[in-house]
Order: sequence, then C-alpha cells, then structure tokens
Amino acid sequence: MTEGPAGGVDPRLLPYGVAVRYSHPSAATSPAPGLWHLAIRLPDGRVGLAVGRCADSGGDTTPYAPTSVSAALVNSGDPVAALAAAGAGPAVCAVIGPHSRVGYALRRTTGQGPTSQGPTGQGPTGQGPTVVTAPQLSDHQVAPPDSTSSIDLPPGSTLLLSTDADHRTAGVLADCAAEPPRRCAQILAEALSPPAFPAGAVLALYRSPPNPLELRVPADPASLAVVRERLRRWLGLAGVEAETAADAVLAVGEAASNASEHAVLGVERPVELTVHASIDGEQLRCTVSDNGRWKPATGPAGASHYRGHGMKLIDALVDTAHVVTGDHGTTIEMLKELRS
Amino acid sequence: MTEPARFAVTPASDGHPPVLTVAGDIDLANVGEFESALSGARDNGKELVVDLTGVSYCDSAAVRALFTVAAATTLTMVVKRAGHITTLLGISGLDRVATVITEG
Repeated sequence: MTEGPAGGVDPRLLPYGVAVRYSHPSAATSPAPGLWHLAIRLPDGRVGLAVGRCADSGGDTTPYAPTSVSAALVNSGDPVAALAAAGAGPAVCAVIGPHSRVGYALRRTTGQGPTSQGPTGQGPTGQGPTVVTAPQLSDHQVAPPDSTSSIDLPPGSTLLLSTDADHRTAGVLADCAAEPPRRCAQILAEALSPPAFPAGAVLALYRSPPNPLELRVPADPASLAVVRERLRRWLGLAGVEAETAADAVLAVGEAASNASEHAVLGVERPVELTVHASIDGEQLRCTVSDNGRWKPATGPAGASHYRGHGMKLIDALVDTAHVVTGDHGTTIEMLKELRS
Repeated sequence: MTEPARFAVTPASDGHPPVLTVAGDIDLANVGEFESALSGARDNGKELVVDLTGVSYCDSAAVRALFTVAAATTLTMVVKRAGHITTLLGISGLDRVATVITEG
C-alpha cells in the first residue's frame, strides 16, 4: 500500500508530522511481503503509529494487521493491546498524546505467538523492532515485553519506529533530524536497505511540533518585516510546506499591517502587537492581537477593523478567520488545515 | 527572506511607456517609497508599466498604491503566475482597472 515517491507513503494519508517509508529488496512500489504500517489520528486527537512484519511472510495476514491494530487503538489507545491484535511477528506501536507524550510497546519475536516472553529474538538482520529518538532520550533496547514505556518528546524532536535497526541507526537519525520528516524518512530507509538489511524494513517517523511562536512588537509599520521573518522561520521549524507557509505569512502580514495602521487611537501607552502561531493536531493557528483602539471608519481607504480588502484577502488565504474586539483591544484568529 | 525594496525606472522612449521594475518586499513601512517611485516613473504620462515579477512580498498596502496610479493613468502590471500577487489582484479588483500580464 505504498504510493508517491518509491517506498514513501502519500503524506495526504498520514497525520501531520508523520512520514512512513518502506525500504525493500526490490524497487517495486508494493511493500515487501509481510511488512505493514499503520498511522492514524485517533478520535481524541492522539496519533497512533505502528510498523511490523508478519510472521507468515506469505502475506496472508498482511492486509489485516493494520486494520486490527487500528481497531485496537481506537478502542483502547493501548500499544500493548494493539500489538496483541497485530498477530505474530515483530512489531512496534506508539501512541503520541498531548504535549508529545509517547507510550510505546515492542515485540521482537519473529515467529512465536504474541504472548511469547522469549528473550530479544533478533529480526531478520539487525536488532529487530526499534524505537529511537533524536535527541536521544533513553535506552530503548531493554523495554520489557508486554509493557508500555513512556517518553516525553521535547518540541521539534523526532521519534522513529522501525521494524529493524542496527548500531548505526541512532546516528543516522541524529544526523538527519533537522530535515523535514519525509526527507528524514528517505535517508533512514536508504540506511535500512539491502545489502545491510536484505529483507528491508518499514519505518514511521514523527516530528513533534515546535513550541508556539509568541512575538510582541510595537504596533508600527517598521515591525512588520520582523513579524514576517520570525513567522517564516518558525513555520520552517514546524515543517509547514512552502505554499501553506506563504499563505500564513501573507494573512498574518495583512492582519498586522491593518492593526499597525488603525489600532493607534488615543492611548497613553504605546500600542503593541502580539503575534502567536501554534500547531494543534492538523491545524495551524495564528493570532494577531493589538492593545489599542481602532480609528473609526472614514471611508474606503481608512476603513476600520478588517472590513474590506484586508478581511477578504485573509479569508482567501486561511480556512477560518474571526475578529474579536473589546476595550482591551482587537484579536484576529486565523485557522488553517495542514498536511504532512 | 525579508528583502528591502529596490526600484528601477526605464524611461519612456519611442512610443514605449516607462517601466518601473520593483524587487523585494513592499509593506506599510516602505509603501511611501513605492508611491514615490510610481509617480516618478509615470512622470505625468498617460501610461505606465510596472514589473512586479521580482516582488518577494506585498499585501493590501501595495495594492492601494497601485489603485491610485490606475486611477490616474493606463496601468499595466507584469506579475509571476506563481505566488499571491494574482490572488491579491483578483480579490482587490485591481485586475479590472488595470491590465495584468502573467509570466512563468
């Protein structure tokens, strides 16, 4: 079930921040026998990720593992229950919750039943299913079977689940951790290919969103270039793709421009703009607030608030925009859906 | 990248209108310079061409300046197909009071 560039899963099918890639013995676009993946957003907003290799590599159960794992995750949100539902074979499952808190479970056995307590059975080539993070946070190699381990991912860090790995994998991840998730997955897949891994591997990557952007500047035209630059940089860190980022920069630029032009009436203290940007699930949220009072409408050129060209432009660039005005000032909130 | 604005004028010659070539970012902070460059390039003439293909950012502030020129002269704008300028021109209605040539 791979689509898109050879081995990479179509990002439109994946939750935001996730990349999935198959590295397999041939250049064919179908997955190697037995390899499967699952990447879904659960109803409560958490992300469920799992990769595995079916024990019976004839592929009879391959189409069912993701479906069973998905059902188990939607029902319980429990990685251990998800692995039990996956059937036999090495597998790893992680659930990423709010504030990028991760719970994961591994199963390393290669042919025994899901309840096997055997010692770490080796995968086809290396050390079997693996969880690695960049930056490295803890030793994942000794996760006890049938139990869930936890990691708190710092903002902007990367979580890798792989059906296989070797001693180089953590280093490869660390080196490409600044790349966008899809590029990172491509580099890792190359490292998990034949000849080092004759049976190939499937990997799932998650990049946690950066800390929200909070910027406070004087409500002055000279601040606008600073706002655009800081927002562009933050959007890059967040891995927002170029076209969406350009839409956001123009929408915020327009909103900030309106505020710096109009929100300057009769205040004893200097008027400030506060610009905020954050990612919540699949959505980018940007706000521009001022603490001033807006000049009343004096005609088309001096239209107050966001009526007229400003709001029409913003509406064309984002999915939802609303304006709230009070004695404290005015805030425009802009929401835009994202894709990996 | 936030780039300061640059303006270059090719004066009218032999039946060809003057051309103002604009590059960089235009926003509320430097729209005054843009307005001066527009009226300087137009030089009270009946036609003006503005090449905006090198503009890296502009919003309603630049559009308002272009509306003012479009009211005083025959305005032609050259813009890139990609990016937001065509959206801006459509939403503002500037494309109905001026000629737009799309490149790329």
